[in-house]
Amino acid sequence: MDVFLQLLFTGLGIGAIYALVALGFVLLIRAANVVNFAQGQFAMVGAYMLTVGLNVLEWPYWLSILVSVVLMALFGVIFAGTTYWPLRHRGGLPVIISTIGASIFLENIVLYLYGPSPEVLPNLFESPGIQVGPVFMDSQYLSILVSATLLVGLQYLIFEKTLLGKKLQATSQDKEMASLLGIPVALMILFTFAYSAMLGGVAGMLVAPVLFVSVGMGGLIALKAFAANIIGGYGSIPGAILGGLALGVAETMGASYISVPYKDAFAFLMLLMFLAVRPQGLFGEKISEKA
Amino acid sequence: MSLLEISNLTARYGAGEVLKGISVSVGEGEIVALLGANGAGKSTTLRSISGLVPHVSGTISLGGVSLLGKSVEAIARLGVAHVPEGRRVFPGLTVTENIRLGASNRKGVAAADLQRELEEKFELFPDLVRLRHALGWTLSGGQLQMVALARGLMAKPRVLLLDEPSLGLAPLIVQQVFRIIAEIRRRGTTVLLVEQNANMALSVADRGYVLETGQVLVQGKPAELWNDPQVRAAYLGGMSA
Amino acid sequence: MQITRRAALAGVALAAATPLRLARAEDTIKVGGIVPLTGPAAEAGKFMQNGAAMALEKINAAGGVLGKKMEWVIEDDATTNPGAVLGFSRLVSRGDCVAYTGSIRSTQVNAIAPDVEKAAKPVMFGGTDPTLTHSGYHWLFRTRPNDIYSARVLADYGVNTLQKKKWVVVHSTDAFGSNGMKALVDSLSKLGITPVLVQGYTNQQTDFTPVVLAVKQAQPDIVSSYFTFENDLGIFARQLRQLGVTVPWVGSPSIINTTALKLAGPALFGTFGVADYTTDASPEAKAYGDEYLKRFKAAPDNQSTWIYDALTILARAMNDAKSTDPQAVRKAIVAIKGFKGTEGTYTYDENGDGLRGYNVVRNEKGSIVFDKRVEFTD
Ligand SMILES: Nc1ncnc2c1ncn2[C@@H]1O[C@H](COP(=O)(O)OP(=O)(O)OP(=O)(O)O)[C@@H](O)[C@H]1O
Ligand SMILES: [Mg+2]
Repeated sequence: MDVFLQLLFTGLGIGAIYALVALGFVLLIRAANVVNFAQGQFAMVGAYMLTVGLNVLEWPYWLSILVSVVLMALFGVIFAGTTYWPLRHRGGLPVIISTIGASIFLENIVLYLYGPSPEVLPNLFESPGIQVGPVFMDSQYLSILVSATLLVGLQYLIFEKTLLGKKLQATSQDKEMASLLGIPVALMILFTFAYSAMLGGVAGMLVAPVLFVSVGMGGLIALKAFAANIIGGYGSIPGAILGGLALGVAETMGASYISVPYKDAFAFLMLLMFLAVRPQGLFGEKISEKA
Repeated sequence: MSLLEISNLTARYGAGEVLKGISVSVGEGEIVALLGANGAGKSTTLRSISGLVPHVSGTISLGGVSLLGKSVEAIARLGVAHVPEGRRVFPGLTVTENIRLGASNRKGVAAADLQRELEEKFELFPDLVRLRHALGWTLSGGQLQMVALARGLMAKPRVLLLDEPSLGLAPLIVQQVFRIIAEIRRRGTTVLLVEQNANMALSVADRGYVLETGQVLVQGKPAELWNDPQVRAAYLGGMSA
Repeated sequence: MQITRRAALAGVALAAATPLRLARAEDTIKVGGIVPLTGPAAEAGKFMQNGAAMALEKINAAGGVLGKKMEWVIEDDATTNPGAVLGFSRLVSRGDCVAYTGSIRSTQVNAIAPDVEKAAKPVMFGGTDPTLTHSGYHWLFRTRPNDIYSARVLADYGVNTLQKKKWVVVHSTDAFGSNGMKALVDSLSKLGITPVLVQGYTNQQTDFTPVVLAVKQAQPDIVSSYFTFENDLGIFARQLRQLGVTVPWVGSPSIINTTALKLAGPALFGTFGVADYTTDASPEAKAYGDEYLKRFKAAPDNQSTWIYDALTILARAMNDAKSTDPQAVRKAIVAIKGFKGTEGTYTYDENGDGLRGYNVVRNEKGSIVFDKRVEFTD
């Protein structure tokens, strides 16, 4: 039982990271029909921004995060302008290829600018963690869980409780109709890119103290986030969140109770099982039921 | 000069011209019906006005302001509300949210005023009241049409473009929809109405145009169109009312 | 008159330039090398280039090879096996390399081994997988001790010096990790010990909690490890300490490399490692370490020493052989006895192994302290 609780805690922590990256991924699919293969690299870029703030400029943590988040939003807009905008009328595949190209470009440009040396970042809070009964809770995992919850909550408020959110949803559901109503569709899409880059960046910043900062860190997470998406239901927002958490817990439990070397295999086994048995994922998409 | 003035409009999507120089004018407060067979170019005319057709030439002006070359969103902000074919109600949003978004083209309107207007729409479409929180994809065809109309009206348009509002609806519902169109007109909204159902359209319209393969075949008051033997044979035949 | 003078001048210039240019074209003896310029080991690739630069400088200052300067031409291996194969084939197809250097990563050496045999020229490498020199390959030469020795030293130190009996072995499931694990389990069994847990993991993990919990449940009195990537080691080390496992830990060389020390920080304090390179192990190691520190403002590790020794040994062998003929160079390498390099004293055998010992070192609050050198003769 002790072991189970410990596994559950870390599984949820790592799953929350998958969920945040998956969430950014889903938003772009919905708003712009963009399958963004550079979503993991958003996390990597965010982590490096934080590294520059903390280790190079030696700013305090809160300032480094704040500036990085703002820069990530800006980065999202630039990403949209270069990777998506010129190809937006060409359909899915050219944009997918363009995002794959961007992911490679981002890794190489960071490698060039920062060098290959991996970096260590301190936990958000100084304490290494707390012992709760049999479970050791790493303070960074706690930060991850709390931040992820806040972000999901914030997103819920924005998307469900504000007019902006409704306009974003309308844009993602029917762009032509949205523009006929006078909704500035291009602005909505840019906003989604900015928001999605910010989510990815925050995921990277949160996970950096755990996974260290390295150029390859994004690919590692993105693969799992993509699987989380399918498991949760392709294009579904609650699906991305629950899919990420489920994957984090399942692979941690599977590794512990079945076999460690097959840990990554569990993620993909789960993916295949869902594709075969329940291709619509945990949350079949409501929009797919439209007549 | 009329409110909406279209002259010598040509339009094409790809190679072939779909509109070959049509001229239509809609006066302030008028309901003008656009009739014609399938593929005649009725929807394309509305889409050209809204800025959705990539290649257009000629002139389209609203209250003296040219719409040609303006973006879809800018045209909406100038006061053109387009209720397109197929209703296009947002499937993942509720009825209230759908209608509320109709006002996206208006700036600086107080929230309280919008709320009041929203309630007015529910008075106009009492059937929608119990569906306030229903998601778009759960609605029936008639309900969708009402949401689409209400959403169009939320724009407080100077001209409302309605594309086949009766399509696919049961006769009783069709009558209900046209009663509402008549009511809209009574409240002073200008309407350009595309219809297959010529009987119903001409019963509410002030004037009508009949399109054939991208050209205006005839135009005139409902009575004149009724009496045009050519039109009668081609488009108004089968009329029994 | 003017024309003749100009022509004469041109003639003189040409006469002066021609032999020079000819000399330059053949000036260098080229050794090809694959280097991780990109991928997870890109950082190590930088250290490697530092070591090579120092070796070349020293070789060439001492007169070079057969009267010519030695040059190291490199291709990226992207830290992947396909990358290594591609990089190596690029080098071979140049046609002008007399020998090659491979990788410090065994799996990549394994990947290029068939092509090495086809190329039929000496290839120096740093991977410590014992099978690389025991599979009948003719052209592979190692400039680090192989894992049979690291395993023997680990086992010997843990059992005889630290007096520990309940062993846990954690290892990467790649070629390096699995072979290291097998060698360690072997060495332990010769000392009469069966580990209470042998736990594999796949490279590039996001979380090591399952591994750490398995270790914890086994209640060992000593942990031993074979990690390939430093970030894996770093995550594991931190979680191991967090979840309260504090028993002594002896690890393969990656436990003391610069990147691992930086990433894991205090989580690795007090651990023991076997190191093929330690600054204090010998005068040669010390001299190299001092100069490396001066030039690159960083402490050296085996990522640079193996290539330093590799190029030095190649130069020496070619000079001994008085030829760059592959067979002659091979013979000269095998004939090397008692050559003192930065990694230890080389005496090559027919298999391609030159070193048979390791240094045991301790992590003293982040600095690596030399403990003792353990040498075997067989
Ligand atoms: N997006 C488009 N791309 C290319 N051609 C189109 C497009 N939309 C319509 N067309 C063509 O333009 C012509 C006119 O179409 P339009 O939709 O305007 O006709 P309509 O009068 O509204 O017909 P219906 O009564 O069937 O709705 C048709 O031949 C049609 O094939
Ligand atoms: Mg039509």
